[in-house]
Amino acid sequence: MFLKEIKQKINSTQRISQVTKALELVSAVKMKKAQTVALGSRPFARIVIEALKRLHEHQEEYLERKSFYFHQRKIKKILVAVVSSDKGFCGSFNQNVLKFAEKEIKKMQAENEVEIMAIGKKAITFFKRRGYNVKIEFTGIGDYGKLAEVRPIARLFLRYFKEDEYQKICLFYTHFYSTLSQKPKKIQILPSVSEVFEELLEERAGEVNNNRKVDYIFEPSAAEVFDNLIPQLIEFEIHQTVLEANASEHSARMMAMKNASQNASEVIEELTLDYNKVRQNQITSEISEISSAKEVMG
Amino acid sequence: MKANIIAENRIIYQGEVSSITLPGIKGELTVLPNHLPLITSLIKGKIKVKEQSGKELFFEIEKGLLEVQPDEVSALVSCELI
Repeated sequence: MFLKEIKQKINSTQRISQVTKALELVSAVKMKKAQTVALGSRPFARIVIEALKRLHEHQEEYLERKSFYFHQRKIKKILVAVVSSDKGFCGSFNQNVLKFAEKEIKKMQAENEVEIMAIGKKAITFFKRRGYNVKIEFTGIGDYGKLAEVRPIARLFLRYFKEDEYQKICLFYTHFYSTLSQKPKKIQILPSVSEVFEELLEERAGEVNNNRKVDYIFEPSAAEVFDNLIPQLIEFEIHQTVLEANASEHSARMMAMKNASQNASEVIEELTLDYNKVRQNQITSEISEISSAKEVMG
Repeated sequence: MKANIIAENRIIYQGEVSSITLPGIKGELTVLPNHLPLITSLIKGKIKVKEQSGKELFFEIEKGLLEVQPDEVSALVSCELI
């Protein structure tokens, strides 16, 4: 290889590493924020899920009819929501959740009709390219931190379920365990089932609550409380999964960028070594040329 | 009696209290230790917490959910301020 070529390679690698370093720093800040938000809302999430679970367990005692939100009707159509990111450069984050979702969707498709709500640009293009029926699209969810911002999604879910458009609604997202570990997860949003609550509780809080039975008084009435609370609780549940997904996304991106920067510096090191070798060779051959010329002349 | 006042993104208050007064959907209600288990909605208003030392604390809320158990009160609230 020629000197100039190697020099060019070194320069371009350096430019790339500058970009990845900058992205790493930006993601680190965003990750910290997203993590604080996601972890900060876990106590609330825990109590919400606990309350839902208890309501669910004792619904027969409080209500004459099974609550609408807990009741599984005959399934005709399933809505699957998949939370991905808008931007790339985050390692296998999107691939993991999308592949996982696709696998599960295929299973569901064997029995029922499935339609997709894609949240995040990556999910939209992924499912469209593969010819799935993408019904609803949401973007710009990456920096959501407030409940009000995911409310439209929750409202849509509830409306669809109420109007009997879909009889089952599932959500795929990436659960945040730590900066190094995130896993794709599936939860069933509607109708709410108790296994989901238990699983969520274990994950969110790392504890299964005491299963004591409590006889609640409901004000104004059990039915009214159910009808008011459950949408609110489900809304929050969705909010929480989005926060988890955000924390995961930024963590994944930071790790990916960190690895990229590291690789870049390794490549630069190797190339510099090559560069020096070639340069030395050149000098050696130049010197030998001069000295041999001198010998001939002398 | 343990009291938790928790907003969507943080814990607002947590501690031992002697009484807590909240804006319930059917009017203001005060919860004392050994209250019967209760679930109700909360509306916009003020939560008053009375600690065992007699110190009183106030929290503004937009809406929320109250869950009372004999030894624990949990209020899930949303505040516009945060």
